[in-house]
Amino acid sequence: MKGLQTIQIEEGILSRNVSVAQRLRARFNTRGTLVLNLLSSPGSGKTALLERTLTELDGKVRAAVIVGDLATANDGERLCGKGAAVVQIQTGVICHLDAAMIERALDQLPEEAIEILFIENVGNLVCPTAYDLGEALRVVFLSVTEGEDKPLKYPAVFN
Amino acid sequence: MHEVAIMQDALQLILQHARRAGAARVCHVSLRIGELSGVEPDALSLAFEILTEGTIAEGAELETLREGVRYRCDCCRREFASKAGCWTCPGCGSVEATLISGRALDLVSLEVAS
Repeated sequence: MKGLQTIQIEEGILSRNVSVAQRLRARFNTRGTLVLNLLSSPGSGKTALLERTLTELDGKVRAAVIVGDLATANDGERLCGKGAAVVQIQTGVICHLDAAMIERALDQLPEEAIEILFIENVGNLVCPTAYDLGEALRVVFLSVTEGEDKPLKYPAVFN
Repeated sequence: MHEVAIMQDALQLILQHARRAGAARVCHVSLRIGELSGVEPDALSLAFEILTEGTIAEGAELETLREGVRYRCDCCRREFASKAGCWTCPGCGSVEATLISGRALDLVSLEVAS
């Protein structure tokens, strides 16, 4: 074996996700789709909020939803029939959505006809934080019944 | 607990850079992990040990540099270090601040043997 060599790299570990997210963001901008990434704890009301939102938007704004859960299509089923196209992603053991999952899910949506795309992330206040999905905005919320101190307990996502 | 997923991406980068340099073995890996990245260095280290098994990075030393949390006050522009989750400006007391560091998840450098 020859000598040791130090290689300076300075590259983001998630650079692969970042490049897919940038590609998605450009695609959404071109089509004029507003994309919101919804984050909160499990059971805090992401799906309930979306059920109501889709009902209010029906007939006014063309919306679509990509919803992520580890298992089941329960949430996707709840959101069907409210005027929006819905794609359910089942992540298996993965605790967050990543940009590649969104890119694959888009193939199942009538993209040119979407004005607002809601991404309901996996219910989790830690892991989804690191993954850019190409969204315009992240919407992080909490229900006071889970504890009003959630922003103090989970600073990474609320910052 | 998504340190395994993060480390899978990190390892892919590590091996890619090592191969490009014609390395036979990776001896040392240096990462920069922000205190607000949501990633725990201990869990990352365990994932590293498991995932590098059977690769040229097996047995490599993993060094984790921590990046502290810093904000810039939106009112008086003062920059200040902070504990995660607290962004009250120590100068003017404003709670309007912009995060300027603490989210890093970077591969900094490698030491390889060829």
